[in-house]
Amino acid sequence: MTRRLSVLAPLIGIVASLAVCALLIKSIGASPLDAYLRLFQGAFGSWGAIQTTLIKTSPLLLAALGIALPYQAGAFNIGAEGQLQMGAIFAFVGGFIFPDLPGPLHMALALVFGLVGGAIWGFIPGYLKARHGLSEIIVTIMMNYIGIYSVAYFVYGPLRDPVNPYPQTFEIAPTAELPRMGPSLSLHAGILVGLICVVALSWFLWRTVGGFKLRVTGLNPTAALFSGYPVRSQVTWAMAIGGGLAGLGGAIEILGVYHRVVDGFSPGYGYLAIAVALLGQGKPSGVLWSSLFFGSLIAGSGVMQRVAGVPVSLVYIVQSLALLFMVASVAVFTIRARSRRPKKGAADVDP
Amino acid sequence: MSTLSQFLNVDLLAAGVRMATPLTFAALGEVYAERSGVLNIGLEGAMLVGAFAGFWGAHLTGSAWLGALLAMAVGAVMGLILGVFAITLRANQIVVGVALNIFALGVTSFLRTVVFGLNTDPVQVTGFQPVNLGFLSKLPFAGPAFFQHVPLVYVAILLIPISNFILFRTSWGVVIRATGDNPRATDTLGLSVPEVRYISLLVCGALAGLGGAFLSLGQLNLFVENMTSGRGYIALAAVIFGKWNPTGVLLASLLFGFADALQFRIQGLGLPIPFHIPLMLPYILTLVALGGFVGRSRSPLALGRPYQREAR
Repeated sequence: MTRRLSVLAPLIGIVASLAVCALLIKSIGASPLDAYLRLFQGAFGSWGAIQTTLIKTSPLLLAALGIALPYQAGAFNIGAEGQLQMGAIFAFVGGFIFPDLPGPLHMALALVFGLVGGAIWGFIPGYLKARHGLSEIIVTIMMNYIGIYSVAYFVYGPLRDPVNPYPQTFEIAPTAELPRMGPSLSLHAGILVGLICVVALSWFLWRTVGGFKLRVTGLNPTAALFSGYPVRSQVTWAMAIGGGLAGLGGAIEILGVYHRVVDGFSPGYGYLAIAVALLGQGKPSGVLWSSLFFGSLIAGSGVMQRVAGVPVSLVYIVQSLALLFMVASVAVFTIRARSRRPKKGAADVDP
Repeated sequence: MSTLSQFLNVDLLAAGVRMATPLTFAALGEVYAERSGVLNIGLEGAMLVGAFAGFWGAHLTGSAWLGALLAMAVGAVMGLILGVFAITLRANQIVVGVALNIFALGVTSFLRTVVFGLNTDPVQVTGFQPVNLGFLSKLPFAGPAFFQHVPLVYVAILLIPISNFILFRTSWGVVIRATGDNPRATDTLGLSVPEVRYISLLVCGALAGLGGAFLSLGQLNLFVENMTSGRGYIALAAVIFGKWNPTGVLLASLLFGFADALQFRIQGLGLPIPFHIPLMLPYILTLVALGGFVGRSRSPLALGRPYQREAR
């Protein structure tokens, strides 16, 4: 795919989706312009709104990066939700034990715990794909639910705070909490973690030999194999690190927002992240923008519902249609490009 | 002892059969899709729109059967959309499936709010009524367990031998299976790969929609947001655990349905047993089956790959 198309296609997707949803809004008797203005206002209209947008963006960004990295290596990680939840419970454990550690060290340790938790959940499907040829798509779907229910088991069972009627764990130590970005701000440092990962991943993929080999493996595994690249271990580790990134997404939710694992804390960030990663063309920079787009939709949807009278569920329609229209435009461009290519003779014509 | 009889009794078995029915419909549909070479991750979404369409249809017409018919039609449309993207445009099937699942969640929640209001009490409709199968329904134990269900339960079970016949005893079945294993063979015979896959996807969507309608019309007679809550993914697991065979899929669905009934029962009685274990069971068993520990289950060879005529 050309570079221009990889920027153009997501934009076409978003514009077409907003246009179709405008008709939908009109059909229920509301004003599309008003609804979109309220959506924008709810996402960027005030400092508080911008903070909410960034808070919602952070886990989506990290989970989507966790999909983008294996995507570059040719593996499709559908398991970000399970990895994110495992990361959350691991980060909680890291933040709950060792209460005597000094602040920054404890926080870093809890983040590493989250990374490891997600990485374990990504490593297993990666290993099963590389060594036993099992479809990572199917395995990650299964691992999602095993992970989600395992976390729920601990939240309902051994780690549950018995004082609270709602199923949730004990609170982490204050030393493990992510710092806020300013004295009067609710925004936590999770967005910084995400931005650092964007830069690190971009650098790795396009500025190092390892990243080059990984991308060759994704684009043409046969060529990678003949070049002597370690295809199997690359896929395994891309899945493991991808899982770790998604795990970080869960960790920052716990260390930055909830300070404990609450039952149902993730509104499906890991599933939405699949759409985020794809709309961002599987590239870290693209994922940054598309996660901001998704995050702002989630953050602004409340105001849109209250003031403009359009149900919050509209944003799911906007997100999914953006993805579908993007896929369609890429397909149409590709097919047109192929048909425009001059025929080289009888060899290209079907018998 | 009294606790045990309260726990393991005929109601639990009946509930297991009930819970297995939507899984059977959806998983059976997925067998057609996957046997023809299309991995339909959008199964969850097709079930969800089916659940809402069935509910809405029954609300508008007062007939559960018409609701179920609408659910099948809307589910088939979901299959058609996947087909346009995955077959005609040759887009990645997983990408489109993921998008359709999010779309289904959005569109059903949106319509529910628009049609039935934001904070109203859940509207109930007239759903399916249990059928009376004469002396069978009066049998001790077996009667309440197997013969006092709503009609869709028996439709699901009847579809199993029918599907076995279609897939393994008719030329159409051969074509579907050939297309999933070796689409070029179908093409060489002068048959259209896209046509076979489109038809399989329409069947898949319609059956998934019917499975969804069972959720909203066969049990509680209401619709709640995201009511399928992952059953489409359990159905995907049932296809693998059932080794892509209708009979296997039925047995897998019964097992998974029973596990679902078990966890509801544990929660309902407030027993000090972790109810998340039966919830995890389908996925663990499927992973074990995939790993080949209990007889390898093999997927259709061309599963998930778009067919390109000009590619060699």
